[in-house]
Amino acid sequence: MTLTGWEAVFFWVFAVTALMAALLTVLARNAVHSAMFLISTLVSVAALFILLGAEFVAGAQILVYVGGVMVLFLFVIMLVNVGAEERGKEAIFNRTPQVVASLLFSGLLVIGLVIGINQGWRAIQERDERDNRLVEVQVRRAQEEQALPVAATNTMKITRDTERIGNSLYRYASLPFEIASILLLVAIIGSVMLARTIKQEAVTDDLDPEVLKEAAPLITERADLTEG
Amino acid sequence: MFLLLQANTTELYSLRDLMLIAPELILTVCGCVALVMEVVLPYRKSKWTAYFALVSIGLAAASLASLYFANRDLFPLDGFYGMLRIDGFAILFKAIFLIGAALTVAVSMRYLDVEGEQHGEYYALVLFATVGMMFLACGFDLISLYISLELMALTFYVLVAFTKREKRSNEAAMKYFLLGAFSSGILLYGMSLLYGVAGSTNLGEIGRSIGVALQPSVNELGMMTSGIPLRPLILLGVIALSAGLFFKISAVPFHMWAPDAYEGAPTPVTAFLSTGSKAASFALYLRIFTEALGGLRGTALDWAPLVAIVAAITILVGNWAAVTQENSKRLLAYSSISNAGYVLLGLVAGNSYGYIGIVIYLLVYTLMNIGAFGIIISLRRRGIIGDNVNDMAGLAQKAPGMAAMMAIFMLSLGGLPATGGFIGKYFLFGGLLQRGRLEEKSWYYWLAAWAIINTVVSFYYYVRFIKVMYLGERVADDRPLALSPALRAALVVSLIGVIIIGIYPQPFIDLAQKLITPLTAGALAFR
Amino acid sequence: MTELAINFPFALQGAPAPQVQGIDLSWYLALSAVLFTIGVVGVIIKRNVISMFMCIELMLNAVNLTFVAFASYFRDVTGQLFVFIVMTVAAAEAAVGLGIIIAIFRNRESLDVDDANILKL
Repeated sequence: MTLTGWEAVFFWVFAVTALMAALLTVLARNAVHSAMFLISTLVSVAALFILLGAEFVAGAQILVYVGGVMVLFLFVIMLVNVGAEERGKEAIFNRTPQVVASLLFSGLLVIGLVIGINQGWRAIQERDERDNRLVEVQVRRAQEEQALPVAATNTMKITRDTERIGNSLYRYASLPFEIASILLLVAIIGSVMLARTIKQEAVTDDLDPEVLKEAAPLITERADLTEG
Repeated sequence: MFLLLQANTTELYSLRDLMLIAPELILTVCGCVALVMEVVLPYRKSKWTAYFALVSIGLAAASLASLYFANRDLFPLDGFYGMLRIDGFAILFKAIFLIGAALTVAVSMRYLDVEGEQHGEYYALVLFATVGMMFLACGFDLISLYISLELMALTFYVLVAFTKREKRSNEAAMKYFLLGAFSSGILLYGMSLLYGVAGSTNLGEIGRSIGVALQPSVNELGMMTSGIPLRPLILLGVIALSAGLFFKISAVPFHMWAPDAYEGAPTPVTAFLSTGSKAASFALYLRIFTEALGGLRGTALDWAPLVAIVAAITILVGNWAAVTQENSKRLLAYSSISNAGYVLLGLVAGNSYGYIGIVIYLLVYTLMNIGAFGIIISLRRRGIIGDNVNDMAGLAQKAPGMAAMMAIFMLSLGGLPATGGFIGKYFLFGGLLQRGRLEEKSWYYWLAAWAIINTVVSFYYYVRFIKVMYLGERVADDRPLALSPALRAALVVSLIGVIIIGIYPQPFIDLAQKLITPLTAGALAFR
Repeated sequence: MTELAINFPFALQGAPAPQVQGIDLSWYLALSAVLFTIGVVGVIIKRNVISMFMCIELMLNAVNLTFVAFASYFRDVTGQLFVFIVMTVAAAEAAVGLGIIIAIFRNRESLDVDDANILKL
């Protein structure tokens, strides 16, 4: 896969956006700003996914990350009012040991990763050319792409990406898929348990009698506060 | 489910696949039933959920045993398109997790009463965490390994925060959560690089690709290429994976979370975290490093020196930091860090001695550590936190039986002969010596000597408990201990286990050898 | 319904394709490595729990990019399946993590990690 022409232009646009937004996520002092920049990064990465031909993942990224996770983040930031927590006008880079450590570390990491990955990528390419590993797959995929139906605008073709993912998800990845369902169940139990107020527990008779006795004045006094 | 099985195209997975995960299915279903029980039962009867959880662990153990006895000649069995592999290794580790889970549930009941947090969700969460661990032991694909690791970790974040009105519990959960999620990210990056090297997430495929990549081959010009170009990528992957896994097993330099999380978490959760979660992380470690990266042993990318250095430093830091601790949970946390170092030695040895050592040590460690935490739990009463070493003062007069048990657990943690801990350490160190003799490299001997010296140091702080209990000048408090039949039973079971393995280890060694040998063979097959 | 009507290359009729250097996989991998590093650095230097957590999400997203890039190179869906699972995990982690944050906030009303000092750092 090599992107050329307009695709390469789009790659640069979204790559630079993602990078800048990621940097600003780290540098922003206000948590709400951070979240907004993170959303920009996520959207740009979703666009990059589309360039890679992973339309379904791109859609899921927008729906799940941007629409779900980040909204949850923003909700919690507003709820606990983190904006006031960051200390006024202090610069973000004010703890020398951490900053030095992280700069050193990040420099090393970036150099190591980029060099290692570049070499490794070339090696992978060489190996696959040598072994003719991908030829068969590529021929089959080219045939498949030829056979794809054309969209109504007559400018593009309708991909089968989603269908392929769906098929594999329920076959090859059926076990992780099932485990993910348990994971989500645990997440539900956990967040409900952690976020429940003492009053809510008292109402459903799920509170220790002695804890209830201790907390009784609290419950009546702050009823309206805790409920919200 | 029958709809799935009779889908009109090809079937998604067969009934045989479901039989392979029968123990996990039983635990999952029972966890859901426990959740319903929590809703239906009033607070005072929440304990029924605990007994139900014990029963369900028993059922899962029975189904695990039947799985083993029905298929023991057919191992390894692959299922779900190669997503999991049931072999002796998986069965052994699953048994360890079930033992740990049962003991944890038993020691939890009284503690949650004292804390005023007796909720049925707790037991459901313990069951789900066990499910995660069990899938971790039998996963054979990076996808299933990752998701089971996360299932386990996520459940533990919730469990650590379970006493949510305690500030210490909150903070411990926050630290554990942040560092756990961070380490998962690093681990995942390593996984993605391995996927890039192999083009597949199956551990067997990855092992094969790496084996091919490192083999010298002849290119089209007739020149020998030695597979060097792929090395940086593999190296990056191995480093990222190791860093993530060192976090999970709390090895130095990624151990900072352990003392805080262990101290702040509810004590039974600490017990489970230090045994079950650690054993599961080791299962993951062994799986990846033997099945997928086993071929790197003896090449220029050998990871053994890295693991050996980390193990040596971990043993040192864990032991020396434990010496100065006053809080007994914190002390046991550092002891658990040093124990992670000992277990890593088995991986460095990489022979059947070492693997037997890992399995037996993890089993004994589960028993003795939950036992030790059980004693600490019994010291927690209303108004008394009881997690200081000095809170044990005078225990020998007040409860001689408990004091004796604590003494045996401590001596076993130290590795005194005739206790289970000694057998585990014997095999771990013996494996190193055997490997050193085989490869004729002296650093294996030095490593073993280093570990033995540190073991002697570790007796200092283990014996401190005994000293406080038996020679403490005044009794810390005269209130009776918080005991319950389940807690007593758990302690006695742990004690019997530790002593039997210590005095008559042969059946355990035979079983471990029989079940773990294919793994050794697999690791050696690459060369 | 499930078919998304996009297929590259863009057949922009009549428009001349610009002459840009071709982008191969290594650019994607380098981009994701840099994003990952930014995430790691963010986790190290940020003090606010929520911001740290957002940087972790950034790390996970960088990893996702690597997976999808390799999947596209190998013409293999496994990488995309992995991304799907990672997204599930990230969502679940967000729910639990924010639950923990709310529990802390109820008890102490501060989210600065430096203030979390009951347990020694």
